[in-house]
Amino acid sequence: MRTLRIVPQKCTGCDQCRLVCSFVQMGEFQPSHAVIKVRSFEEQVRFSPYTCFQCAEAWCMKACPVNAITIDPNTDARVVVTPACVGCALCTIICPYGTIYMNPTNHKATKCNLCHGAPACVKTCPTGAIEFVELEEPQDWTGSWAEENNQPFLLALARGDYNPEIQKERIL
Amino acid sequence: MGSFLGVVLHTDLANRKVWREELPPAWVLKYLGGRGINARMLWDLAPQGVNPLGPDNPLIFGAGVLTGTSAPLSGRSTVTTRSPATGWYVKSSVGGHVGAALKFAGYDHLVIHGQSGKPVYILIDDDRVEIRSAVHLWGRDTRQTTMQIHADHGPEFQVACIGPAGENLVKFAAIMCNIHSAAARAGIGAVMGSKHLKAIAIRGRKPVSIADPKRFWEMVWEARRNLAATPSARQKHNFGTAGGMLALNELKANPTCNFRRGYFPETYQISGQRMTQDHYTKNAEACYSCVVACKRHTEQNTRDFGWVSSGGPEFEAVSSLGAGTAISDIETLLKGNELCNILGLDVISTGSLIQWMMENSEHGLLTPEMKEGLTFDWGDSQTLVTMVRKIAYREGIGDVLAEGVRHAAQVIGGDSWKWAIEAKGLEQSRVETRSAKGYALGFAVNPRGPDHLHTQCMAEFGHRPVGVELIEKITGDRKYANPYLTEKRAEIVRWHEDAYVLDDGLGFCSFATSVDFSIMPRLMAGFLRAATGMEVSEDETMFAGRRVVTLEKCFNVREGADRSDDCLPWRLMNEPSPDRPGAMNSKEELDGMLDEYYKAHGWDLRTSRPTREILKMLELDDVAEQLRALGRLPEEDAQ
Repeated sequence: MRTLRIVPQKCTGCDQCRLVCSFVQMGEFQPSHAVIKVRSFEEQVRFSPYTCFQCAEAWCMKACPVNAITIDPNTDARVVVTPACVGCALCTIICPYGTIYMNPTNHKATKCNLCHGAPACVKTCPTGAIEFVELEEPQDWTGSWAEENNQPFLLALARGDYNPEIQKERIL
Repeated sequence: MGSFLGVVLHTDLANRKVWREELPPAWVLKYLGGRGINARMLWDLAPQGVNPLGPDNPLIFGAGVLTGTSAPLSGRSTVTTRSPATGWYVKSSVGGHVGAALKFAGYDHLVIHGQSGKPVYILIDDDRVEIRSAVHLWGRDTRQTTMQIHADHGPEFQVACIGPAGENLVKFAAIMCNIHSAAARAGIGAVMGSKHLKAIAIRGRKPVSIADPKRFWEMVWEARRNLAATPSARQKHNFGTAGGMLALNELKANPTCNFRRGYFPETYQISGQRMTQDHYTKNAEACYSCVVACKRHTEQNTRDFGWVSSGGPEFEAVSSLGAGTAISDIETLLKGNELCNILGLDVISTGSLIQWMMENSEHGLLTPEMKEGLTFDWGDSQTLVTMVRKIAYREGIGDVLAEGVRHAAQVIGGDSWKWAIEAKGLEQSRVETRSAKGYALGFAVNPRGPDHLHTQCMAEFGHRPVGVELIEKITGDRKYANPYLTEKRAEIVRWHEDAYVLDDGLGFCSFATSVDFSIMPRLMAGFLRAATGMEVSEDETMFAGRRVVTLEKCFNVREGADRSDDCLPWRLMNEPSPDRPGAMNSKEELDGMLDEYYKAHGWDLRTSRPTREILKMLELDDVAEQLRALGRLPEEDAQ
């Protein structure tokens, strides 16, 4: 699958990515509505864009109680099926990267869907700080942390071994 | 009206009132938005003879019509007021992100009236506008101020603020946006300081729309393709604006030692290339929506000054603080530039004052009391770094220098006025006009004083095919793409004047229109139509540019300006450039160009003032009437 890769040292803080993303999302320019964000560091000295990396664990999809998040067969992106979303915001709580958001206008979840395979931010970024790259395997962002820190629930999730009974045990 | 919102936000700091004014779309067609509407509002709001540091001088911010859209290089804004340094009109250009924030908050312009008794800052958060106490911020530098506002309100707020220099009413204090982007020249920071306005913080979460999206995106990609094919855009990204200094040096047009010479042997040491290659430059930074990113961020753990980190230094900074003072130590320039940013000083004027003092010292005009232990030798780092602080805080001789070089020359005395590189009371920016005659004319007629942000006619250098074609289009013959010629400069300057208003009004960076002409007026007019849905032709936009240029001139005429004010610094008019025999901006030569320029404008040759007939043609009848009532129309018209 292809997904977005960020090269932070190339970011100049121009905000083109947020501008075009917000236009794709809502037909107008308002950077706070973009599903890609730009963070500044060291008092606006360095910048980096960040957004959903379409991770293998797909936490948002697993948390959704109404199956409103699915995998787009064309792009492998994890996408919100907006009419199905009930606005509970559980996905925004579970995402460890904070890259799924509640749209303030319609109170539904919103996230990067790779613009159906032609990501606008990649096209507009003038320096190549955002790349659309082919990956051999889906990204496993938990890495070895879950194993090293004895987190069986996280490991189960990462394996796709989602069993609500395990979750109940841990909570109780 | 698409990306033109049609809303001015007014604040009165005396009575703490906030109100909104609706602007009809016709204003965009007539004045082109941004700088143009700012100019009209200044004319209307500032009474004739207004005290620049008094309560009645308005401070006007204007974002461009395209600002807040993805049109490349559209993130620039204008700040307009009456200058406390010169007494003339000043419009200042600034990048950063503040203008975009203003548009997203729902406003095209912000006008600040009156004065507050105590320090305040304005907080704009969409519809919520508050005038809050800034007692805890007063005295702090621009970095500390911005960080405090971010800590108190959130990092999404874009901040424009003054440092100690603005608070101390230094006549070349600047307003710093996003800490490192300067709205400077002619003391606009002092106007903000006189109002006890420490900062403006803006967050905007409303949308900016486009009238004709299909057409708009076509224009965006045409502009992007043009920019990608522009050689100097790549150079600016890689090496910054200071990357152009080496070429200028080879042309002997690199002002050195207070404009005594046009060649600095150690130029490489302070060039953008060196800063990149030796890793002083840590990051290329962009103004809002810009795809070039010519700004620098430099950091270094320096030998003598500890950790230095700041936006820049840009071309004007290394030229004014470096080549001008014969300082070739890059770390000194990094520190000097950082101090100008955090103390809130115009870097051109600051360097200008210091190199002038070095020449004064050479001529034996400085007493030990004035020097206070500094050598004021050419190339002395300690002098530079210490004096930047002393100027900002008005300490010792810094208090005299803080008044600007024209006034300081009266205090220092002797012949120091002869090498005060100023006209209209403003220190000249770093162009050797004895070897660039179009620039010379543009500098002489610039309403704010001799600098490049009124008409930057780079095309006259003839170093780019696009520029040569433009000169041919304007003058009829490509042989006029030669900066040493005085012929046809009037036409060249006038075309650039009009195009610059369009550029500034829409929010575009001047590099788009002046460097490799990647976004020509035709494309700009197209952007204006697509973004706002307004019907307007390229010719109509250039005509509106003419109108704004004339209105800006009228502001100065209202304050008593005449032909004698359109001149250049004494040295450039009376001493030939040592690097090019005979090259001088002599009175005779300048008069020839001015005559042609005034004729081309239809202004009176004797006084330089616009005639009633011209003002009528430009639909500025009410302006003509005010000038007539003051007796300021050229004599034939006075009734």
